[in-house]
Amino acid sequence: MTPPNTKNGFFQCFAGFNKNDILSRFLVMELLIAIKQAFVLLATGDADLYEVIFLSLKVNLTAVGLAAAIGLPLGALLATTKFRGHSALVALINTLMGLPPVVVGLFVYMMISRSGPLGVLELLYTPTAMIVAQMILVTPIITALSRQALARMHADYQPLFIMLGLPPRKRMMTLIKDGWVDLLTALLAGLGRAMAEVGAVMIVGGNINHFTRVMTTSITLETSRGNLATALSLGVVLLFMTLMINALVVTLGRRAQHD
Amino acid sequence: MIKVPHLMLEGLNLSLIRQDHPIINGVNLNVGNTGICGLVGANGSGKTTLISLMAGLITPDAGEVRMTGMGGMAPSPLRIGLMMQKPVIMRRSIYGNCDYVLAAQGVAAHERKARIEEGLALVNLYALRHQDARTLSSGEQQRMALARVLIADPGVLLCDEATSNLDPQSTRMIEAIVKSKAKDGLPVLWVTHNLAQLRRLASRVVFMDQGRVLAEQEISDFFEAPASKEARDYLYFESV
Ligand SMILES: Nc1ncnc2c1ncn2[C@@H]1O[C@H](COP(=O)(O)OP(=O)(O)OP(=O)(O)O)[C@@H](O)[C@H]1O
Ligand SMILES: [Mg+2]
Repeated sequence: MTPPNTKNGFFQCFAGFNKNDILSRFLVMELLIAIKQAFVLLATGDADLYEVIFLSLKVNLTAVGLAAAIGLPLGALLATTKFRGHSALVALINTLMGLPPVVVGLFVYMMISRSGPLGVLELLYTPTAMIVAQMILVTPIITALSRQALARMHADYQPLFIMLGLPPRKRMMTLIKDGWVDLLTALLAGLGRAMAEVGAVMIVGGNINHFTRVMTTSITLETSRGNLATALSLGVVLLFMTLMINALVVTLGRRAQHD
Repeated sequence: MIKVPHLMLEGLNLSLIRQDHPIINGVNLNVGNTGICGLVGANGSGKTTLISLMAGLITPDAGEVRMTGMGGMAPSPLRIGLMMQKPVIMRRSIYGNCDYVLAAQGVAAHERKARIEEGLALVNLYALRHQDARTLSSGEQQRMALARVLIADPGVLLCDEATSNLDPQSTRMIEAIVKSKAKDGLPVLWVTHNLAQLRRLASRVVFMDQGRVLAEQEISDFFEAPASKEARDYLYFESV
């Protein structure tokens, strides 16, 4: 009915947007303001924002690093060897990939709260506690994804391994060397999950300002306070960072496929 | 390439059962240095499975594979050269694929380079040596696989349709290489569906049908008077 209107083209790309609807118009304006504010905050080097970003990165990169130290060798082991209970273990790890973060948070909380078995360590509401929770969450993801990739490769390589009489350790090293793109993709998938996660770090970290506040918990807080613009601008930054991680995953994945 | 002592490979009463069905059924096979041994049979007759058993890739349900060193060399499964119908292609360059095999055998780095370059020149892949092996055509992959097997100086050579994807020129090249190796005493088992090639290469033919060996004859006898009805059917086009 209405003739094409280039002026409204941008707004129309939001699904369900109706330019005559006050609420739709308000939401879009809000989003645009948030994006602008996000860049202003980033560009002006807002100390609080950068503190939150850096803690997010520190906690999640450390957690992913530790999870990788467990998950990659375990994945390689599961991909190259068969033993009693092998398929049960694989099934368990695949299931753990879908662990609800709040359950992990609760579990870690119970372990490290003052009355818990590890209470003496006084870890509750510290970045360390958050790292532990994130690590538990991410380890199954990295293990399962790397096992999957390496198992496929191992099936291809196995005749050569047998003919050369290679011991398991050398087989594993070869698979890791030749499959590094797949493994990096697994790590980035883990990092993406950790960055987006809020339930577990909230429970064990407590979202303490200047100490355990990370991006996701910060967004939760600002939203509940009604500071939608701040929450949104944090959201935009988080989105941007997750986007970068995912773009890296996709690029590497595509490369691995082509290779 | 250096000349190395060879192996004799014997399959004794080999059987392999899958899903209650014998894929290999009491097969005796001897691969020695009395010229190239051709292995033929219809699709699904069990040639690839038999080669896998001989190479030790799969364990038989009954029978055994015996290896005898010749010329005072201890027998070692590492010295079986296997050229598979679908070769393993590592995610590396052609050179990297070859280098991996030699490194795994503990060949020193400087010697590896010389051997690989010689081997790749032999199969006409020297110019492509830095290309990712997965991007090669299937014929090129087959040639790479053959070079990779040969540079490792095998004591016995098992080839499963090694020239099935090769053009006439490459086929001629490969045949010449394998022939000269066999002449030097390398025991060779050669699977093919190409009967003209069989005539050119083999001095002895083993014919398989449904997991059993139904004929084992000198090459001329095989074509003139096949020892079983199934072999006669297999050779139908040769007689018309
Ligand atoms: N793991 C397995 N489980 C069940 N059947 C199998 C298995 N491996 C092979 N077979 C069967 O064994 C038979 C022999 O297969 P094989 O690959 O050895 O035949 P081939 O003689 O090499 O045939 P081609 O000329 O087509 O290469 C086929 O019927 C195949 O379906
Ligand atoms: Mg076959």
